[in-house]
Amino acid sequence: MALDDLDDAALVRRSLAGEAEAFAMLIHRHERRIFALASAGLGGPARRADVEDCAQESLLAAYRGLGALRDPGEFGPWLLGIAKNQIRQSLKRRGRRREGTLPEDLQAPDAPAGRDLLEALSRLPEPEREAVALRHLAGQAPAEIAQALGLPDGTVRSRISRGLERLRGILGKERMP
Amino acid sequence: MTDDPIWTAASEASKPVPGFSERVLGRLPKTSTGRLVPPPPAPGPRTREAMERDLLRRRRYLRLWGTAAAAALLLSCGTWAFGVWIRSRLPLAEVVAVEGNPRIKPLPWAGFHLLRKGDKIPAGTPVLTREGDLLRLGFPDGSVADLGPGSRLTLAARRAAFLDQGRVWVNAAKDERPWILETPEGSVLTLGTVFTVTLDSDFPATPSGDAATSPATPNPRSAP
Repeated sequence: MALDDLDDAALVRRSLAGEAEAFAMLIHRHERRIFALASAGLGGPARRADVEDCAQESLLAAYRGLGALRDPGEFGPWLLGIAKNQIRQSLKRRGRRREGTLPEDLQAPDAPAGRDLLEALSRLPEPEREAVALRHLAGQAPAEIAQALGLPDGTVRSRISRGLERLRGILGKERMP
Repeated sequence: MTDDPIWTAASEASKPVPGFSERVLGRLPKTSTGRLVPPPPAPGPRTREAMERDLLRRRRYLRLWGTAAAAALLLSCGTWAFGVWIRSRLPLAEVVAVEGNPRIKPLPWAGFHLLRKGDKIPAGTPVLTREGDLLRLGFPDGSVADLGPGSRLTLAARRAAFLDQGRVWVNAAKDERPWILETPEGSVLTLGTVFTVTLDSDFPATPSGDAATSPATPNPRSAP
């Protein structure tokens, strides 16, 4: 059976046996979400390398703690929890780093057009930020987000709606989706 | 939504970088066969020995804190009791003049002590005079008390005393606090005056003086 056809639980079991391809498949399935969360959480000034570092650390921590995952079928929500912790730690580290002055070129984002939006996203409350990021940055359907976060579908939809409303207020643009 | 250029740009900026999974796998330890070193297993259920060790540690901890708390309680009780005792032993008056052999019994288990001029009289210690004895006590506030023959007086506070028997003449210095003399028959209370109280076995206490004193009131301590 091809790895593509296996569900998360089976891939987790194979990863626990040391099968690199299985863990690579898990990474492939979830990296989009982790990058979206990290980009939204770290905000506009984050460098691309910071986002990647955060995503890498999340996945490395996930592999090291894979043995402690009680229900392999819950790998997705569990990984997102690890990623959220990692984002918080990155923000703390960045807060300490900001005490010194960063050179302007290091603060410049890779995509200037999306910089304001990512910055505004980082100012949203965490529940709304992750729902909006997964919906509009990772392009996931509300049902998928609900499954990934372990939340009811309605909760996810209302968080997305509230988050977009706040974004409109922050950016002051009527053309927000 | 995703047609909006700002969202498109943000979404593009948050896409995983190419070769990301290879870089993650490259940072994971591998065996000689190229497989990943399996992650450590979840900690198993705790052994009986570990639980007993924890229980012992917790008991030791509780015992230590219990002993410390008991010691602190004992120390504070002891300090409080010592304070009460030392206050009760503080001298309230001084012997100014003596005639005959007035006595005092400083401790219940000790014998009598003959009073001499300059002796200090603490609270709660009865002062006794026999026939032919006279004793004058001076108080820090300037009050003076003369104890007649065959009397027994116990000082209670700076301006308070208890007369069990005999006669006492008091020149109470003026003060906001009243001078109180209690007897088994009643009490005399004044803010500053000269008065005499005589206790006779056949008659109730009879206060007299050249200034107004409160009438003798029934003393609850004398109730049977």
